[in-house]
Amino acid sequence: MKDRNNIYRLDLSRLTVLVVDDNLYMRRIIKTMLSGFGIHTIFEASDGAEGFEVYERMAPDLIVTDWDMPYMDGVEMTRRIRWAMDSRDPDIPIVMMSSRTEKHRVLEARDAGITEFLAKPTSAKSLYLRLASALTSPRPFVRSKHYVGPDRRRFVHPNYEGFERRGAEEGAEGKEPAEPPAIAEETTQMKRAEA
Amino acid sequence: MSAKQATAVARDDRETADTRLSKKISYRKGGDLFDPIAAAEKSMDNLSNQFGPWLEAEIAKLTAAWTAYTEAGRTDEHLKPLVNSAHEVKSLGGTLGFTRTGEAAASLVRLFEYIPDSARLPGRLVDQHVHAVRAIFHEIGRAGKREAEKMAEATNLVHELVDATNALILARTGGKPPETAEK
Repeated sequence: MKDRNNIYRLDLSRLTVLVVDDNLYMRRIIKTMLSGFGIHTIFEASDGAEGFEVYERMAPDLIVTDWDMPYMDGVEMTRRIRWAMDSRDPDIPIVMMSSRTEKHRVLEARDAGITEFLAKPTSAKSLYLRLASALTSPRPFVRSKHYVGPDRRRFVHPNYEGFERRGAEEGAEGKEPAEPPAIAEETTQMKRAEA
Repeated sequence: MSAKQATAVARDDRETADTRLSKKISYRKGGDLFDPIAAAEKSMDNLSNQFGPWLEAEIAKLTAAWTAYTEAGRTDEHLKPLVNSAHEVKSLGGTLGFTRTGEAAASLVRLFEYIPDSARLPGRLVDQHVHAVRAIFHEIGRAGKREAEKMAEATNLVHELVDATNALILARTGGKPPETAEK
């Protein structure tokens, strides 16, 4: 139910969350907020590559990730989770946090398949609202030729009669994406080795 | 298949994810007074005595990046760490309650977003931003913790930086700034 401020009050005590951020202090802040929400099991990782490993190993229910990180950034990690053939949970909700809020960046994150975008600096209220939205209002999960992720349209016009681009795409309903974007595993490993 | 059916694109895993999450979360009942946002804010408040040293460490990184940038002749190679550091101070400053410090860093970030190449960046304005971030942090600290006069000075300084940055951006781009998701 919603409280007097029209905010859903959820029991999240059984939820497991992965926090991915290269900034130790920001990880502590996010973990503190999540603990305050009543979430007890929180995993953490300091870059996208480690984040993907923890995601595969610990199977969290939701991911909160930064964008800009060394080795593998949050967008690349999201693409890997959404597109990789052996990804264990491609439709996991992903909340991306970033201080880079130019419109083209937000669209890039959306097109990578994030569930919610949250601008930094942030607050407990903003984070909770994004989490609640990702958890209580899931959008249809789309697997098309060029996109895998939650439906990017937040509003479907009930009387729309125009051209359906997605329906016209080859492989729109195919389980295996036809052209997954390149995942730079070697590049990531090389960067880590160099470091 | 109709267009509408085609629009109901591959939802094969949706039920799985929804089902899994629906087992993990539940709506609190009317009598349950737990307020998750207030609880998180209280947890943050309990941690707040560490916020100053945290931000101080990030500002030290910003200063180091700025020193390396200026000493190297303001090259693009040395600009990237400075940009990254400015983003960290913007994010942490605002989140931890160092509002004016965060705003000064946000103005610097904005300058970098619009003028991303070092050759076109006005060095003096970059330097002023870095000095302002450091000065505001050391003089003011967290919002509301110091006297009103110093807070007003910091506010004016941030406004001057933002105005100077906006004027420069408009002069260089010749149009309205790109949209952001800040609000």
